[in-house]
Amino acid sequence: MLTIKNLHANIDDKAILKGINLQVNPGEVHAIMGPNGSGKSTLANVLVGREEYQITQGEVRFEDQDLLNMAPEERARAGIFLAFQYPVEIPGVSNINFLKAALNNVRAARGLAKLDAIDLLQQVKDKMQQVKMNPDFLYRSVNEGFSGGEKKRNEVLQMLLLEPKLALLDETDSGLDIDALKIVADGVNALRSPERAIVLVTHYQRLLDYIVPDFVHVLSGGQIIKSGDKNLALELEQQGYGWLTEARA
Amino acid sequence: MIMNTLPTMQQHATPFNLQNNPVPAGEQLWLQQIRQNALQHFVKHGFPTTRQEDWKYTKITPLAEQVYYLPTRTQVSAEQIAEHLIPNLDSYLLVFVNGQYQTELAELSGLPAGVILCELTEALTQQPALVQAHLTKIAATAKHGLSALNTAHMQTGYFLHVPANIKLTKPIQLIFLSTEQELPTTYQLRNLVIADTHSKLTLIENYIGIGSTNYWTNTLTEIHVEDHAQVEHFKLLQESQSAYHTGTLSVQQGAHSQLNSHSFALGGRLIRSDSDIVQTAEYVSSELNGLYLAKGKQHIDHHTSIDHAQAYGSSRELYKGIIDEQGRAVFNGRVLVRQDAQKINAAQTNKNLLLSEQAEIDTKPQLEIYADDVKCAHGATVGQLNASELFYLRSRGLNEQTARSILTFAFANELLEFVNQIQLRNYLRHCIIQQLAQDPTILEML
Amino acid sequence: MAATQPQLTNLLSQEYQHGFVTDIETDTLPPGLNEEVVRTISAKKNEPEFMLEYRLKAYRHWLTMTPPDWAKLKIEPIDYQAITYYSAPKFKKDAPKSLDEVDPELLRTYEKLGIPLKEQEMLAGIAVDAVFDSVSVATTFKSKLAEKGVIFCSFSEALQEHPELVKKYLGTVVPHTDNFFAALNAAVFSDGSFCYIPKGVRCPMELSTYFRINAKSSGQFERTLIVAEEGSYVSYLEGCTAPMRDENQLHAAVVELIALENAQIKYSTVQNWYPGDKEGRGGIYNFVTKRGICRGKQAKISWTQVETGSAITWKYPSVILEADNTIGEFYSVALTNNLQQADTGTKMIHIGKNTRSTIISKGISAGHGQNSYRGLVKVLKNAQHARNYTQCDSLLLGSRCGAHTFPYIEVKNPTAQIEHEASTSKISEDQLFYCRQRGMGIEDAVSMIVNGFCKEVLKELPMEFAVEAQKLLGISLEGSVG
Repeated sequence: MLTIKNLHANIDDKAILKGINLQVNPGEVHAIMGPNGSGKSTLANVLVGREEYQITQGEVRFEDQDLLNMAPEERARAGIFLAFQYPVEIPGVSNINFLKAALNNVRAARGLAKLDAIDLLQQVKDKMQQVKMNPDFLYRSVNEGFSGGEKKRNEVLQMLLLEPKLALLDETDSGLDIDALKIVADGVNALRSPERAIVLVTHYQRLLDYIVPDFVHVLSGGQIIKSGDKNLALELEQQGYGWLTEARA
Repeated sequence: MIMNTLPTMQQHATPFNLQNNPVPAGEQLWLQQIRQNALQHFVKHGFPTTRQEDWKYTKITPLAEQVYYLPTRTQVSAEQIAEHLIPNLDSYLLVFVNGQYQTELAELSGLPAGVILCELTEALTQQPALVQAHLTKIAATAKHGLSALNTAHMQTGYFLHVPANIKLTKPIQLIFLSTEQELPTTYQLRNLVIADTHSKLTLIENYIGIGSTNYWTNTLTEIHVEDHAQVEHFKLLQESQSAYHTGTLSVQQGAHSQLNSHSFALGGRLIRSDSDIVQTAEYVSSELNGLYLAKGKQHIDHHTSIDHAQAYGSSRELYKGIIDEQGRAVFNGRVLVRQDAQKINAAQTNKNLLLSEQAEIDTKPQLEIYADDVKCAHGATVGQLNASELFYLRSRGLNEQTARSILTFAFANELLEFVNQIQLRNYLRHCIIQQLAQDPTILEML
Repeated sequence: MAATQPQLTNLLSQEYQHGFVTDIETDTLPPGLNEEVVRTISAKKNEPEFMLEYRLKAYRHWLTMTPPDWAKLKIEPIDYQAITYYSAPKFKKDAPKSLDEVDPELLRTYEKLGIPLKEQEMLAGIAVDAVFDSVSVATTFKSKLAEKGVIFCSFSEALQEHPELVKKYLGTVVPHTDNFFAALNAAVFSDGSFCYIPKGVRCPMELSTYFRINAKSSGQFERTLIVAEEGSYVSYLEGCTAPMRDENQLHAAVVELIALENAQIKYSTVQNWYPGDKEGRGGIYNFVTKRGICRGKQAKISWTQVETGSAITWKYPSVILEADNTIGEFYSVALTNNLQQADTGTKMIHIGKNTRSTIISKGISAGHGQNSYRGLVKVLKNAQHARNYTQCDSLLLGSRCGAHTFPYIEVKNPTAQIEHEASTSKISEDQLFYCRQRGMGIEDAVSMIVNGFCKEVLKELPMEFAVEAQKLLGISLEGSVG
């Protein structure tokens, strides 16, 4: 589904990604871990087309398409979703209007008809229940004045509605208490299916107790320095990243 | 400060002729030409009037109607000047009394080699090329009649040149003292500062008037802040309660330079203070702070203009006013971001406290933005002391007057927080309390 | 943003949608202005003597005035002798008595503009006065309003039917000497709307006037007068469009609002005059004087405006808070794209005690548009406990536009509480990216963010108008971002 080959990316002429290789197939859950500043978030942002990063080398293919040549909205419509680490606030734009615009654009790309207001509201309310969000949030401005946890739940709500083929979650677990973490994990697990893939970017193993990954990759210095199964995450939890990064040095 | 009458020696006084400027003997031709052009400009345009947008709220017709006289020599002793100095401040010093430079009162010992600090007329003879290259190069004659008048009639003032890489550790104190005189006198003061690349300096201009004479100070200070230079500028106005003070600060800043200018307008019948900053290169930082305390029949007008002509600049302004009795204050702050001057960050705040029935404030913060990738904000407020804060203090046993004094001073105190120099800050605090006519014991409660 | 720019540029090039011309026979005066023209206009309308005298007084005063000095506007001098001061569709009889007598071509024009004038087709709850060039062609729901004692008719009709009311209030808020364009309007205004809400009546429906400039090189000078008697309430809407023409056309209207004790007037405008083309050719010069006075205690006047059209907009809907405890509000969205210029804002004059005013202004500049907020908050000596809150936000789309803020605050009373805040910034890249990551195109994303930016103002509009205004913002931005 997603094939990353020798990907290099810079920001402000500083190299962040220095040759990433990764293959993600439908049905798989990958966890990308690594110390702060290793390039985890950069990888997620490059995949969705953030323009402040310059791609200097490499290739990314998503279902036979050259991902790097697509506009951000084209990637979204193709089925890539990023749950942002810091979701932005959009004053004056109500959550429901935002969801409607997003969903209808994505549906149109899949050849589906626009949802009418009643169907939309029903769908949204169902999913909101799933992430235990109060329906009042629909009429508030997007993320404005939301707490950290509410923002993250709003991201998961959007993900559940847009039903992406590839969901990227950038530190979605950070700053969450244990109850919120379970809600987020339940949301992600609900999305798991043989057709979909999930990539979790996280600093801690904690999230992986609730969303069990098929593969764990350690990113350090802009490269994947080790890959393994879920046990690798447990090992990292006990020993930290030091033994890996030192061994390399 | 204790009021003190210094001896005056008024000799055959010469009236100040607006239309004619006697050129000092032996003055260079280029300067004569500049004076002549400025005079023509003034003769043509005259004094600003309230029909001009920038003078909408400030009438200076009394200046045009009054006959002023040119300064005459006044002799003062070091002891007499001592009481006007900032206590305990280790500084370089130049003294001007009644518009005349006092050579023998200067304190320049320890000035690093290469630094020139002297009277402007001396610099004209010692460093003619340097002066010619910088004088009138920032302050546009055309801006308003008073700048033109100053250029046409400039009498004296200070000159400072700090060469590249020299960082002055001691501040420079500049005293402009006006004593009791028989006739209304005008001082057309012209100051010129050149801070070369990577230099650093602090200027404290202190305008003090004693007695009740009607005099008029018209100053123009040009500061060239070259690349990477840092200039800290203070202007204290403690003119006499009958005096007029019109002053312009014109600054041009080079790349990565920093200017902080602080205005404390306390004394003077009418004060008009203009600060015009032009950021001529990228990564320039400018900060302007001001405190004005208008009471009695004082009229205090601050106009600021920050011209972000290049990208990546920042500016911050905080002006606060306390207006009591029949005082009137004006604030007009202009922030201009020119086309393609992207990534500008500009913030401006003006806050005013009105304390009496007759007090009046006219404020106009303005933004003119021609570039899109900018963050600019301004805010202005007019209000009173916070009722719940007052109540809180009174509920803790303070009488109302004390509570008011504390809160009023606290309002002003924010401006002192920008003053790092401890002796200067103490001095300013003392001056502010005196102008507010408050019991100094409130200091203990702050 | 490199990748997004071309797409944004596409977005911003949508055309003006109301630019068609109605082909209709008209009664048009030759261009030019003199005392005879003023007399002719008055005679055509069979006006009472006082009206002619008022016009002549205004005209003679106008002759002594000079056009305003445009602080921030670039404008070619206007040739006042090249303008046609009266143009009216020719009617078979004197004037249509009912909609059946109105030329079907005119009815079709309004239908095309989305303003059906046949009552059965109309949005229930909105009465419309349709002004076509110099005259009112139809006023709907008149009889239903009359049941409540509400007078809603064209200005010409008011002069025939209720001259005493017109005489009592005309020029009392905006005197004929007020400014250059107000004087010109007082001399030559041809029609407009008149509303009178009697004591204690809550007007049962929204009243609206739809202004249409059609004739070539004609000016439109309409006059609106709204009087709300004690304890009454009225919500009034105003919409405007004009055909696309290469030359500039002048629109110099005067609106006067009078609110007596406990009365409330809510005045909403969606202004979509032809803005000119991308090179700045043509477009309406919209020089309007709008002012309301809260003459009785507890009266309230709210102005809400969405200004997307006109080559140049120059208007400052104002409120004089004369009586105690009165309230003035101003909510504004002004959008300038291509070479449009807008200089707009408000004046809040606090005279009475405990008067309150709120100003919310949202300016959006795109293309080479120049957008200025100019406002005055004035607290006079006896206005104890006056309050004002002002918020001016500007959004910049593109590096060739400008946003300017000139708030004047003059306070002569120490109990006043005045707060002014202003900010200027570009559209947030993060917000734009967030929307795009959720699958929205740039156009949709920009339009959504801009609408969000304007929400505080749009929510003040009556529902039907708000929807219209949102669409208009989207359309007016097309071609501008990048």
